[in-house]
Amino acid sequence: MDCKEFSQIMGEYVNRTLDADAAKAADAHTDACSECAARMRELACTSAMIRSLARANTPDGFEAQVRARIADQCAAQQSGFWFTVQERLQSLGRLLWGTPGHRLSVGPALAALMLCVVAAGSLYVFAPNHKTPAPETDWAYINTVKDQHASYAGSNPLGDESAAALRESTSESGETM
Amino acid sequence: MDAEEKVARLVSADAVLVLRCQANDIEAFDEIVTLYKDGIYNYIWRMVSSREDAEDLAQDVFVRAYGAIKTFRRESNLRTWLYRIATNLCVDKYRRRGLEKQLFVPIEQSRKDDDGHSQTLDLPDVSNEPQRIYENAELQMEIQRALMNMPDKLRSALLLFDFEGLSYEEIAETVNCPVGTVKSRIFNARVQLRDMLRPYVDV
Repeated sequence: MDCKEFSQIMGEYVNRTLDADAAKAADAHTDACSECAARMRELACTSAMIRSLARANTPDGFEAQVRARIADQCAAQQSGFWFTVQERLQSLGRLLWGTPGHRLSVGPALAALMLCVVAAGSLYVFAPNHKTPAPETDWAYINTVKDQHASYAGSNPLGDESAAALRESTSESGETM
Repeated sequence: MDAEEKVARLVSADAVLVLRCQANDIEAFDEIVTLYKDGIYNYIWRMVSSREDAEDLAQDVFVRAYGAIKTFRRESNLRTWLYRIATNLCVDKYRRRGLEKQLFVPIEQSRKDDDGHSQTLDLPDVSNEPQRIYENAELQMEIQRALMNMPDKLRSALLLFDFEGLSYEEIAETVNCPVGTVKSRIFNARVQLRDMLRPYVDV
């Protein structure tokens, strides 16, 4: 094993996770190469440092606190929907009549609301009428249709009195045919 | 009993505990807390460098675990699942507070006195006792400071491997990355730690 090969497996060598054959080859290399041996020892020191860090037991009452928090969480989940509704109502209440600093002044709020209503009403009343105007009656077209219909009056192809009725109604209303 | 057999037995015991929890057996969850509280607490303590925060976060880990244990898949490993929750909580805490760059001053800077002169730590002569060098409380603080100065991904990999004794595979499952990435993170963490603590590494 040369230095380049050793550097590729040095991490695992330090971690002691090499298989037996590779570890034996690495041992032989570090015996022969003082530079690689020194690098390996430096990295191995870091492992010893971390392993030497003090450990502590969890503080007293740890399990009891975990249990209490779990119980709180379960209670909150069970109240669920009604809890949310209650919260919202309380927020609204605080907003209108609630604690100083969080209360929205009712007077200005109502004044602003009234102003909005008046402005909207004014716009509705005074704004120009944007309705689409009804198209003008096309009497020329109507008369053409009437003429066509009346032309069948003689032959009465429909076998009814519609042409005669039409003629009469037109003459009564004074429109030209 | 070798390490693999020990882990296999632990996993199988955990699986029984999980099944009992999923059947609403609260005492089974208490057993899980008792089994893992010290490991989780110490890991978080070293991740966030505060015992108070570690206590809160360790409680959070178990509260969250309880809330999600019904959805825990049987093929998963309870131990790595708990460490994953812990790791995520630690990382979230750092993101929220932006602590990483603020609280932990570089080691060289921290060792200067008021006049700007470098201070040397009064370490015991341990030339014949290489393992005892790290028992010095002040050096432990330096090691912790160095840990806090490295990226959380490297810190968690190194702590899970050296401090908690997880295998590469367990760490990969915990931090959700390939085993090769775990190996390189551990190696890079060692290199950073060596560079930051070089005065104490030349033994």
